[in-house]
Amino acid sequence: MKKYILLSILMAFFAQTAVAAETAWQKSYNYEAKGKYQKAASVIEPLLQKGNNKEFAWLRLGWLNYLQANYNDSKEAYKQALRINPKSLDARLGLVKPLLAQQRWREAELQVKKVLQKAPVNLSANLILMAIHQHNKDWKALQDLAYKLLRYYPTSADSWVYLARAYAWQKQVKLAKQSYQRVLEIFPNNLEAKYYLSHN
Amino acid sequence: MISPKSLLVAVPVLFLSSLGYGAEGDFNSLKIQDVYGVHSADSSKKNQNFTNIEYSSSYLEDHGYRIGFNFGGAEYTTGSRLEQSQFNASYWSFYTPDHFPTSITLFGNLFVLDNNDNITNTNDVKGFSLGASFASLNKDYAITPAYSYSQYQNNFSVSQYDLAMGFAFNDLWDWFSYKPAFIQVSDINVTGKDQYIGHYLSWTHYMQQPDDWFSLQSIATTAKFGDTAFSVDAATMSVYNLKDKSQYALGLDLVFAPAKNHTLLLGTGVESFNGYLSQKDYQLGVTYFQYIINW
Repeated sequence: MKKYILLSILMAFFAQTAVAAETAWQKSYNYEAKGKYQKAASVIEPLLQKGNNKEFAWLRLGWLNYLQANYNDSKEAYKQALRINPKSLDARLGLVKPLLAQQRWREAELQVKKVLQKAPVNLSANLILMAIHQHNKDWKALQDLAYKLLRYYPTSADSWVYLARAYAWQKQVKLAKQSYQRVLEIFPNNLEAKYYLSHN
Repeated sequence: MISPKSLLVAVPVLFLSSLGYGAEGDFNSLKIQDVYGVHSADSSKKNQNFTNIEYSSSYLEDHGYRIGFNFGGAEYTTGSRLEQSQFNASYWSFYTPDHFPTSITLFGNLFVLDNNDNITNTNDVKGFSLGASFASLNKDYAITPAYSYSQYQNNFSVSQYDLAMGFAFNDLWDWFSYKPAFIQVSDINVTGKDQYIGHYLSWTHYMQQPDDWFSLQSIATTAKFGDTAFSVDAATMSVYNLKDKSQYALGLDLVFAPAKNHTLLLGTGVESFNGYLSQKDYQLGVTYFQYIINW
């Protein structure tokens, strides 16, 4: 009988914790939807101590700190998530966001390349790497990467835009125009493509 | 005096040691520079040549250091020769505090300079620079206050206060900078003046189509006016250990990228001086090249 009582108490405790945690997540999403990022983060923080999904709590804190422009706290949160799960591509791609906001291009590139080692054709990682190539004005590298990526994601308008920019900067007007045409097929109102095509 | 022979040993050791520590996130560069100058007729010198070898290493956008050796000399019209060498080391660290409008780079430099000039006592010079650079995250402006201190023989010292200010325009394709430098010397009898103010201007245009013309990346014009003596450039660690007053200077730099991760700078300039011993004005015309390999 004692065993049953103990089991019942334990089950009730875990069930309560689960409900509390669920409530915390829900509250956090509600606050985020209202733009109250600090409150959204504060309801998650207790879960870092006693929650059963600390990794997700750190990821969420990383994101919410990023939204508040607390970039150093955001980086630290994503690094904590990586310490719990070093294979997490979510955490590594999350870490890139505050790095880019701080214009730490080299460190962002390092993290993105680590993601690409595990997932070579990951679209998000490749889009960030293209942004880094563009920042470095490495138009040939941008062209090659965009071209490669479009074989896997032919409807990626961002990749077509990057390819068009790479051609345009290298004065390959005909290829740039063809690429911007492809952008317009996906997004008929893309202003950049319209502007280039009307001026070249 | 730091001999060229010791440099020939030190530089490869530094280079090889850096390869050994080629950790993830490390960025290294090796710079070789040579400056050749010709003096006009009213100078006590005929020509001069200085070579600079510098190794620098940084870890991501976090911190870095550089070590440099500069050696060379000048030919006097009397036939004698000035031999000079300089060692310098720098360290910097980079910060991006939240809710602060700029990034902050703190830096410190040390230098030791030696030569065989026993007439005007420009030898045995030691000094340091300390500064902080505040730059907007999108790099459209930067402000860099710096302090430099140089200790010469006979308790003669020089303090220099810089405030470099720069801003970008034309969608970041152009950069203009202005740096006033206030120099205070400890003994008015050394040059007859205890304060100098120099004004340094530069305008750099970055090429939008760098593959068009021999991979030209940028073109920069520099100008300096206002009398200065014993000045220190905290950015390049150039030490002007001369009693001759620098009056004005003009320069032109072209930067090329002959290959990926390789940079070639070709420059030329002219600087006007007033001789300490001769009290005559003279000009120094310089041409220089700089080759940088990054890895």
